[in-house]
Amino acid sequence: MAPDGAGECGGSCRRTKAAHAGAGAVAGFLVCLLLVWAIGGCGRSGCGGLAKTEEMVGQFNLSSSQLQELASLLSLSEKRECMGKSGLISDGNQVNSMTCISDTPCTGDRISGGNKNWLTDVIFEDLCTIQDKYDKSAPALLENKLLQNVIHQGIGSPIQRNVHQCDLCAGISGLNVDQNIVSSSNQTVVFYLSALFGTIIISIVQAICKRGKKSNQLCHDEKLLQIPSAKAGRKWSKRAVFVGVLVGLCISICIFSSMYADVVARRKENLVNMCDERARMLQDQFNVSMNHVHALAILVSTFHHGKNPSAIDQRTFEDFTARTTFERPLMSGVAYALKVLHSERELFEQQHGWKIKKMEAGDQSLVHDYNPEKLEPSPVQDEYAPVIFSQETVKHIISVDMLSGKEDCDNILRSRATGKGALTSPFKLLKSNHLGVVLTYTVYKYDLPPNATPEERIDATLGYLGASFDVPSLVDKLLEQLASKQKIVVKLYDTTNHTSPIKMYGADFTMSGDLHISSIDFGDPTRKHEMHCGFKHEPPLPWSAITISTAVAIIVLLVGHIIYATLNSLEKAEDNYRVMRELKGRAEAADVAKSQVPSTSSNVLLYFDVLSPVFYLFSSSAERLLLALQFLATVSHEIRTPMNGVLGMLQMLMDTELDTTQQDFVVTAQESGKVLINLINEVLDLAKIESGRVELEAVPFDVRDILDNVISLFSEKSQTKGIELAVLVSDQVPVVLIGDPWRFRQIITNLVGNSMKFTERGHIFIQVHLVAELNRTRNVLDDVSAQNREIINDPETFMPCNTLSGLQVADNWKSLKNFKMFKYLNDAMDTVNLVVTIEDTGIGITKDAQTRIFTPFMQADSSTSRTYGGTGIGLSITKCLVELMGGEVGFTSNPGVGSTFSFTAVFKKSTAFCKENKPSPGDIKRYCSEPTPSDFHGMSALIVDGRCTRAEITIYHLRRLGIQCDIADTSESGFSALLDNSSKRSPNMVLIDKDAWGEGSGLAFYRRFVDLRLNGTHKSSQATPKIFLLGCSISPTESDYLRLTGYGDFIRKPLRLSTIAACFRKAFGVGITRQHHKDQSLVLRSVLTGKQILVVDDNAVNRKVAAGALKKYGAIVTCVESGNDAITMLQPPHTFDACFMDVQMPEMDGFEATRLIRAVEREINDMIQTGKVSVQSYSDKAHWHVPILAMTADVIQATFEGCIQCGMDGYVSKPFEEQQLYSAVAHFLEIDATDSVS
Amino acid sequence: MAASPVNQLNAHISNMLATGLLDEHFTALRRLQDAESPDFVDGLVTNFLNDGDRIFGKLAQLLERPFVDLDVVSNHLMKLKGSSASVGARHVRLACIQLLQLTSQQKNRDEWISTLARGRAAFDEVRREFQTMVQLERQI
Repeated sequence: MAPDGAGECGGSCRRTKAAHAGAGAVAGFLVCLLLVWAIGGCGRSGCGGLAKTEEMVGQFNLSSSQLQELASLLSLSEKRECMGKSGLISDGNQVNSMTCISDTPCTGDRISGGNKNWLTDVIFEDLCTIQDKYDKSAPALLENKLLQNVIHQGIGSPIQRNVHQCDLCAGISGLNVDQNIVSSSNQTVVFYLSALFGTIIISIVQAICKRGKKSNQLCHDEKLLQIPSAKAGRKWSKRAVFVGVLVGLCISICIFSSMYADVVARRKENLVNMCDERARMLQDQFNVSMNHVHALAILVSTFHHGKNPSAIDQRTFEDFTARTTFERPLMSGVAYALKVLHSERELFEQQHGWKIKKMEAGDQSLVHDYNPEKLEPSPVQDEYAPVIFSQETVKHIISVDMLSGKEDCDNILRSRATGKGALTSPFKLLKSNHLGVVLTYTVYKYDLPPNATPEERIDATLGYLGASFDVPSLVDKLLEQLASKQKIVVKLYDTTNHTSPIKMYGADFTMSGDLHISSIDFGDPTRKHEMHCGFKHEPPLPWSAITISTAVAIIVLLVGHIIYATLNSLEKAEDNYRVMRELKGRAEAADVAKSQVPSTSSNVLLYFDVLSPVFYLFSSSAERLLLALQFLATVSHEIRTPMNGVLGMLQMLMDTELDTTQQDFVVTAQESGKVLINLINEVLDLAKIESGRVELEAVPFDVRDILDNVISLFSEKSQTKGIELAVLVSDQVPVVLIGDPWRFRQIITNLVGNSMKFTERGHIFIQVHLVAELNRTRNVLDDVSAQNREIINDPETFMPCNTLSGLQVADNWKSLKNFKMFKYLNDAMDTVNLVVTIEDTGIGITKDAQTRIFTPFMQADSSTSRTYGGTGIGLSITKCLVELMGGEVGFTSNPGVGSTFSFTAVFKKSTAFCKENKPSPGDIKRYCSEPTPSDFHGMSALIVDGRCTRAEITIYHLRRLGIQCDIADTSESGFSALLDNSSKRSPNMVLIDKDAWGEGSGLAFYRRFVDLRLNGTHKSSQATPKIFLLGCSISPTESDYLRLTGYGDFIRKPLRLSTIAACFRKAFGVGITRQHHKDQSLVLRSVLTGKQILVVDDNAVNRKVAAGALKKYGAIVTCVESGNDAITMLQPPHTFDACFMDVQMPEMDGFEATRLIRAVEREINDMIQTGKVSVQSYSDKAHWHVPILAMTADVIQATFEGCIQCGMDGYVSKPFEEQQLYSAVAHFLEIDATDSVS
Repeated sequence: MAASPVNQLNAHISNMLATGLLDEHFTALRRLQDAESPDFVDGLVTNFLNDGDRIFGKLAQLLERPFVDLDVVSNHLMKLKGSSASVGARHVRLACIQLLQLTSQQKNRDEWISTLARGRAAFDEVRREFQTMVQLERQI
């Protein structure tokens, strides 16, 4: 269930994550959208506003200029003669009011005239109504209103008569409306686009969420097969995201292009409008001027020709024209030429007093000082057109025959034929050097009907009125009046001749970008003019388009990224989940494997099953293992306590009288219990090591003693199995090393135990060497033993191997060679590198099992545990420990032959340590063996053994006792050594292996020796050497035989120092200075008798029990109830020899009390040392340290450490157990006891 | 054949041991009794019974309160555990351990009360047996 739950949890987590991401994306997107919208709208409205105001200003300018124009137009038609023609006189008041409103500088009476007055009238009427409505003091407002009205009128007016004005107005309003429409439509488009985009993204996110959910469900349904498809789906959705991003980018590009096109179109439109406007105004101005000229023509006809005598002479004309110049601002000059026929020339010339002069051909372009006197008289022609009146500015042309000039002639002819004004093509005007055109009006004798033929017109012609237009100044002035003139470049062309248009006006600016051409009608149908307009500058960058499209692109990328990231995280989560599943699957497989292993530890493994779901929550297997170990440690601890009870009970049960079957049952039960306890201890150990809480001690210890200890542990087993167990420590290994003896011992115990388990015959041989030493001998061996090895490998010879039991063993050197220590030998002075090899002749390890032998809970194969039991935890502990000690562990194994485990370890040399110098009695007692008995020092021994390896082991042990050794490898040499008393000192003892040369050969040797003795063939004054038979077991008859003969004794293998020494003592009757404490209770009694002991416990029952138990051993017990009482009691000086302190007490626990007691003791010790207090006042004791032992119901490692930390000397479990009490008490009371005895 | 009081006592004790009511510590106690302190076991057992009675009463009281002070409870339990361990009253000790575990696990009241009742029952059984034993002993 739990994994599902985990999956669900993970899934839901992921889902919420995805949902969050989605929501975030949507929210972010919306915010972005709003932002962009706001900016866009702002810019848009800002731009729009700006444009509008500009437009307004423009319009206002326009309107004012227009009004000016209108006014000037009106003022032009001032002539009263025209009044009749126009038939419209505006009210003076109205005009006045109008001028007030329009703020134009025109003064005087304004009479509308010409043929454009309709609109003017309308405007005026409007103005009047406006004036009614609004106060005069708000001119701006009124102007505004006026403007609106004008526009309104422009739109609303159905009248097409005044095309230009209407067009102008319509154009303005159209522009305005257009602009509005454009801007609003743009905003709408952007909005729709963003909305569309938003929906797309939201739908994508939703789809992803859905997919995620779906995949979660899939995972949830444990459909492993679905996962690849989900993955593929993810791939697809990733692609979709990419596509979406691309689409979004395309959209942003589209937005950009559409907006850009819009901008361009607007610009173009602007240009068109401006161009048309200019063209129209130019045309209007021109027309107005033309009208004036026309009016002048009428004036001349009326006053010159109509009156007799003429009312006009040159002077009057000059005067009049000069005063009316303002009405023709564009004309450089006006002149009147009379039509003179050749017949009238004489008369005419006489009348005027000058000759008709000919216009010089080149004078048109000349700009020199024009002198008409110099001109040639006109040649004889049919007709002349000499100038009679002229404005002052063009006075020089008086008397010049206009028909003599080509352009003028054409013009005049055309004019009089059509009756309308005629224009010349542009040419350089006289004097001013400006390009100009000449406008000619014909003056007729009488009013001609509109449909008069040209002949009639020519006949009726009286004269011609010419006016020269200065085009550049005309255009300049016009443009001056218009807004944004600096933005635009205007060029004017005469395109009468299409192929070569003549430029009339225009700077040399090259126009940038678009060009607009609008045609201009100057009232002369034969001539065509065009105006070219263009922008002066390059169009500015379309910032708004760029901003918006970039923003959209950024949003797209952002959203794409968010979605992509979401997808990625989903994928990651799924991957993790899959990995977890895999691990789970693996773990399940392992679990199945484990459950197939019935073993004594099945209970413990059951916990794995029960708790396995908990472990699966942790993805890494190492973590899981650690957790498992921690859990096991906790559980094991709980198991250990009751198990101890079980074992104790069993021990007690064995003491009672039982029949053999019952005995057997009990023994089995106890064995099982011990195994379980061992396992639990191992688990605890492993957990401790794995969690890195193991710290190695660094205390002096004796390697040999440790090994003896190990041997003694396994002696029973080896004897029952009939395996030879032996230890050999190289004599180069220092006696005392500094390191952690417990761990070292544990490693060896584990390895030996392992070997013991799998070995049924042969031997287990532990060797300890220095790395350097082994390396040296091995190198020598490698050189010489080539042929030896051949012999060994040759099955034909079948020589018994030179091993302990004669059986073949696995060659250890292979694994040793790989050790770092052998490769990189470092001979540091203060370190000792030991290599320990444990060689057995067991079943060996198969090749495939060799790889995982150090893995916890892995045995070579599941059948192993069935046959031999165990959990396989020991080797992994060993490995950890060895690594902790800075060494390596390795092995060589041949299945069926045996395995050889070896490990290296680094210890420190103890430099100043020797036995005389005991740093502290407790330490040496705990970690160093009792000093080897020196009773046998100087003795000599003969070792008779056929196998030198075995002999070496014996020698090793004897040497430790200080016994000189000789070897005899055959029975003959043995006898000769024994019987030959001539030269050599006869040995004190003979040690012979029971199977020296084969089964029972040792005993045969002994028998022979006894026979020799009894037969008296060997007569010797010397004391007969004692003969010791070494063997694993001896039959009762054999032992009787030995005992009866009196020469020999039997030493039970495995050999260890204490057994040998004990045996020797018995045999020689020496060295038994101290009684070996066989009976612990006796010892306890001796140790505790007469001792003052304080028992501290709050529980009355416990107190009584403890007191009772201690009293039983003869101690004098005092009881107190609390820690405080204890402190008072233990305040020096006191007579207590020891204190048993309960750990868990109310108010003050044992630790606290001990700490305080120690503090007091320290203080007093210091005072005594410094001499502040006399020793006498503290009962002659210079050093106060009362041994305090903790009593605790929970025997846990941590408590022990706590005990030591707060200054306690040890601990005993509660209720007391004899064994434990002994071991705890012995450490510190025994020494005192022996001391006091001696 | 009427069993002698000594035999009766021994039989009773071995019966108690056999049923698992007592453990090896009781035998250890018995071994501690000698001529010097003939009432050692007797006194101890009486002591234990009084203690146990008192503690169980207190525990029952404590548990009736709406808010149980677990520290006080565990202190009592610890004490009882110690006594019962010393005397070798196995069932009582186990019950104490169980109750101690409950204190650390924050279990609900019902479980508490049922466990306590079990402990109490074990204690009562031990008391009955002990009283019989003490009577037998006094007959000697």
